[in-house]
Amino acid sequence: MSGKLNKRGIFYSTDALIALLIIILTLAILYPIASHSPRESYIAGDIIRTLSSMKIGEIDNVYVQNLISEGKISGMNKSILEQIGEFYVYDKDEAKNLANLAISGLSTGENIGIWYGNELLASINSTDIENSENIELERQIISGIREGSSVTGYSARAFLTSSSQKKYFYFGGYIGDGNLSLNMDYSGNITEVFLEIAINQEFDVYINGAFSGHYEKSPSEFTPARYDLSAYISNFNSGNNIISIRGNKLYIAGGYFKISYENSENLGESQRYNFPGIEGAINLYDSFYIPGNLSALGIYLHLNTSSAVFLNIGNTTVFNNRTSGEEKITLNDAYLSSLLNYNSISKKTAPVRLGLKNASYTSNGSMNADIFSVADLSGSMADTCVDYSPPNCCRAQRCANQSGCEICGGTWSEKIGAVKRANNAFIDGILNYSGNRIGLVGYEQAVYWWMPHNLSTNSTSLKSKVNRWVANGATCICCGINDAVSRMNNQSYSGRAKAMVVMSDGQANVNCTASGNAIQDAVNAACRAYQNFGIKVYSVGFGSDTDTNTLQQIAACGNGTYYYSNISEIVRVYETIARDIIAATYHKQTINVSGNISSVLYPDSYISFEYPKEIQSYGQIIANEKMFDNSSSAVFTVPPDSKIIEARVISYSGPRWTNKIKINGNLFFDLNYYGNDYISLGDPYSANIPLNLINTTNLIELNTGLSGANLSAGSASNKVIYFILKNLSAYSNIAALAEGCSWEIEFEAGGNISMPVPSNYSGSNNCYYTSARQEYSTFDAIQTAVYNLLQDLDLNNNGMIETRFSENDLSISSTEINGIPYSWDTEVQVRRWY
Amino acid sequence: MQKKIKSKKSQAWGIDLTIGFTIFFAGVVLLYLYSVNSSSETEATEQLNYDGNIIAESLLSAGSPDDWNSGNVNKIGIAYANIINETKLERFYSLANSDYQKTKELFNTRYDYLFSLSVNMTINSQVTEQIGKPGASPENINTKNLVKITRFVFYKNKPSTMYLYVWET
Repeated sequence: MSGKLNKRGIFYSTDALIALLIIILTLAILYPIASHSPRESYIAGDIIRTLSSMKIGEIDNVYVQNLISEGKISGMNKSILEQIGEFYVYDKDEAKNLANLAISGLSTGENIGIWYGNELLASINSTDIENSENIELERQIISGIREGSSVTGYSARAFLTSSSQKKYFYFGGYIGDGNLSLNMDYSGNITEVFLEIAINQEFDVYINGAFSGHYEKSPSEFTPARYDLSAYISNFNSGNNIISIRGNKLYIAGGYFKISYENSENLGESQRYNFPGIEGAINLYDSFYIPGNLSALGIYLHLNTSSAVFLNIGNTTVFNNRTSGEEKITLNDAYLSSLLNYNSISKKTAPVRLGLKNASYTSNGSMNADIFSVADLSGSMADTCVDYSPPNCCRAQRCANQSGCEICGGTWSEKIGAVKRANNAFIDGILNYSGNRIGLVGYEQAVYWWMPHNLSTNSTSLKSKVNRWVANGATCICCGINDAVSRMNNQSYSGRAKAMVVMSDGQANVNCTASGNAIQDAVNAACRAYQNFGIKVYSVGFGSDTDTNTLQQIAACGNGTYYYSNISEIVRVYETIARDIIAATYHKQTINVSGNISSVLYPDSYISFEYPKEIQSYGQIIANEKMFDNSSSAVFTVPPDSKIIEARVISYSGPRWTNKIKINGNLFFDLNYYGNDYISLGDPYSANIPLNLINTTNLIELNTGLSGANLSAGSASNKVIYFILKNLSAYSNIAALAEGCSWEIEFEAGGNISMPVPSNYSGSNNCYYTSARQEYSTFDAIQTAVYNLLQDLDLNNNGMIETRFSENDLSISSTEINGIPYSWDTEVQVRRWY
Repeated sequence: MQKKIKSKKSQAWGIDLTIGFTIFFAGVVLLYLYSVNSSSETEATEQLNYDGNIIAESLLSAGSPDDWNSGNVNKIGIAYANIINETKLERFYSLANSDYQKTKELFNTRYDYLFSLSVNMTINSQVTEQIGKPGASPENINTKNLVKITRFVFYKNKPSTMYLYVWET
């Protein structure tokens, strides 16, 4: 073929034709591409921009106006894009209608469509997108909209407008002797009243002259009792109230009234110290605190005393006189400023001492003590394994020790071990004061020779004896008491305080006489000890099988006190008994009056002071109490997001003086500043802590003493009472619902309340904020806001709320917000295709 | 005879070469003409398109200063978020009518333009179909290169389409 072409001479023409053909084909291909490449278009972006800016209420269209008049469109300020989105959730047809209407004015040859999510709502097109070669798109996210979900979000705010307030009315370190009264001033409706005092005798309470109950004395001067007077709320009046405490030669060694009342106004700082009322022998040891720099001082004394009375502030006597009948005495600022250095008592807790001039106050009133610990060593006191399984696991002495017991899944009940530790602590507690002696008597079937230890100050020897005690045999309580009485009579002598502590975990079952009644023999032995030999008998019931009734009779007849303890608390109980016995040997702050003195200090007496006050911030005031961790120290913390506005250390110092208090190592109260002879000085029951020394976590250290050279621990019943200011409001995140629920809330002070929030809620949702259960729905704005608020109110995060309130105190504001950044969203796309 | 056959053979090759060269040359000329024409047309269109988009963007802005008028205008703009401000539209209309050349300078273009909407505009209570080169209308533009820019706008609270014609005189 090629040969033929060559022969015909068309070789070059053929090549040229092929080349031309290639050129023409190339141009034929390129031309459509070059000529039909579409130019850049801004239509899609325009649609997104315009529809997201134009408000639905501004559209001039009959159809839209009808939707508005029908109420289908509610928010006039929604953008068209948002309104289409809302319809997209609720009503697809309306969404499509509105979307088509929105782009109806578009006149272009291009293919344009609006998609919400994956759904086409409106388009203007000449070809289907499925057949397109190219698709361009503009997109925008619309928050707060998702198909099948709510299109509007809710945000709620919960805040506490609690008008519930707490107020404390403090007694001094010592108030006596006679009938006592207190001026209690508040404004509002009282809801709770508690009295916590260390008092020497049983007493009656009168509120505004109305009898309000008879109450027993406190366990000791170091250990207060707490009395609930809420049953007598009706005897209180808003305003001034006189609370009288009447009994036989009463004295109060510290304490306070605590009231809860409703008043929406926060009370400011006090500018007055109120004297208590005393009718008998005036004998007051107290203190007052001036929060700022003292600028003026005034004293008003309402007295009726034929014997001279002295008033010391710090160590300065500002009054010393008797009255002619009932007199009202005013000491003005000019007089007082000439006697007192105001700087020395500004921003400090200043001791106040008011007493009878001619009474004798024993400068060393303490007595040395001889004490026997009479301990039950019967077989029931043995350490045992309980709650083991299976039942035959403990055969052949396998559970004779703790490890064997635990192998069998049991719990090791260490009764004799606990009693040994308690007696060792008791020995330390008693011998901590020089001059005291302690003896030991163990008993079971009888008191065997290896069980007792004579009165001694040798703690090593005593503890060695305790540690050799073993449990065995029956329970002869009278044997123990009688043996202790015998040893006391042989080894002690007059002028010493005598006491014994009788402990038992069961029932007396061995007689000491021919009566045949072991229990009666035990009680009789105690009666004989006190009545015949002046030996006070304290008793301790130990464990769940103890014979409480018998031990209470023993304490009652022995003029002592009955205590109960389980295994875990026995050491602390013995420490308490040791302090109580020691306290009973002091007579320091009590008065010895010769003759028949009658004096009256009326409760309208006061000290007023002026100082520049700080403006108190707005917020909810919350009162907190923190018990001491032991007899000398406490740690308390200030909750986050709160401001502390007042803090006090309260001290049950008994017959001693509270003489040194530190916070975080800083000494802020030192009685020695006013002198070393305390007898003429006041004894603060409550000492204010300077606010500038308070950190988030704080260590309080407290000492008591009889003089400047004496330092002792205080009472484990001491507390830190502090008030914090919190701005109590909380918000929710954006949530789909704002319904609320019925809350069950547990309070720190005890008790739960159930309340609907908001107050008109009547649905079936239940929410919980208790120590056992915390439940709410995060999808409900109101529930979330309330839960957040309750968390703020739960200062120690234990599921219990510190501030008691009612549903009326809890305000909820809920706001429906449209177009908010929400947890879900929908993408809007405007597509252009060709 | 032998010689005569050889001569006819060489003549055939010469004619073939001539025809082949002619065809090849024609192809080259065709390619050249296409590329020259296509290139110049694309450049002109792209330039018109570029200027047209610039003018459209300017018109769909608020202008400068924000409350501009014929005396202080630095940039002609008649809309915010593609929503046409009727007051500014009137000012644009007045300015284009009174000093079309100035509007071209403000748009920074050497081309002529014509602005219109898919609906008739009402300016100073009169129906107006377009704004731009005096006497021109979309139908009577006589030019080799013309671009039409299309944008989506809201005019008098109704969706509409904005057209901008840009051409080379």
